[in-house]
Amino acid sequence: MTGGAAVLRLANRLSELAPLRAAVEELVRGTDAPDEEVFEVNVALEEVFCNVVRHGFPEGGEHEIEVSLALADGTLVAVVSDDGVAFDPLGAPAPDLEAPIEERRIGGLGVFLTKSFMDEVSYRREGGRNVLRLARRLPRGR
Amino acid sequence: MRLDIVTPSAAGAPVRVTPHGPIDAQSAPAFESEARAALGEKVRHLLVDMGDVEYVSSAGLQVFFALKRDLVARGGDLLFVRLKPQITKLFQVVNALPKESVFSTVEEADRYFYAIMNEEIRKRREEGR
Repeated sequence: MTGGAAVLRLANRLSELAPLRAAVEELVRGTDAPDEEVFEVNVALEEVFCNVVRHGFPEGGEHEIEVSLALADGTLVAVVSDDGVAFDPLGAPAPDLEAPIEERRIGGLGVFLTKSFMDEVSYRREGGRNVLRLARRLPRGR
Repeated sequence: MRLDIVTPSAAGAPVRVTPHGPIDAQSAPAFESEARAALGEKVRHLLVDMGDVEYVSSAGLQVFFALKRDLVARGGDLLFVRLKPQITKLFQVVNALPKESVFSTVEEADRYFYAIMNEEIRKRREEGR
């Protein structure tokens, strides 16, 4: 597996999800990262990005969300940072996966998937910014 | 995301929708509203042909759950055909893929719904007696 890096400065809009996925796919192009695992990274990243868009800026307005991507030594690291209100998305309660689908409470699924699909997930508040770091071996069994 | 919709012509038949493209936080709301509009108040089954969907996120899953909830409440169900492997795995990770809800081929789905439709016809004939 080779390496690479990219820094994206995205607007706080859901229309940025497709470019974000494209950037991840470009980063892993030509490596031996399985498509199914790249899919999982994108699901996790989408959840994190959407949480910022939805909860980070209660007063509205246009804001920038920075996403840095790096692939080195078989590990992909994504860092999502924003200047929104302090918000740690990792504290959402886990969903009840045993209940029939039609009885499940809405919410918690995205954070569950993020934690399932990434090897490391951490949040910190630094310099007035939320900083969420995700990391995953690609492929995971390496 | 483009959504092809086929509305049913017989009792017991499903609304068939074929999304083309990702079902993510941006496209999931439109998918839901178009699917619900096609279902109306009476249709009980929704069959989603996922053959042209490579990506579904948690937003897409939540829409599927909401649709299933409402369809089960009216005595029907949400069923899928041609799920891609990575999306099958996504459903499995969240324990949300009863095997009776998934068909590998459109023909398999057709056989299932023909049986339902024939049962509807049989019931109506008996009620008419």
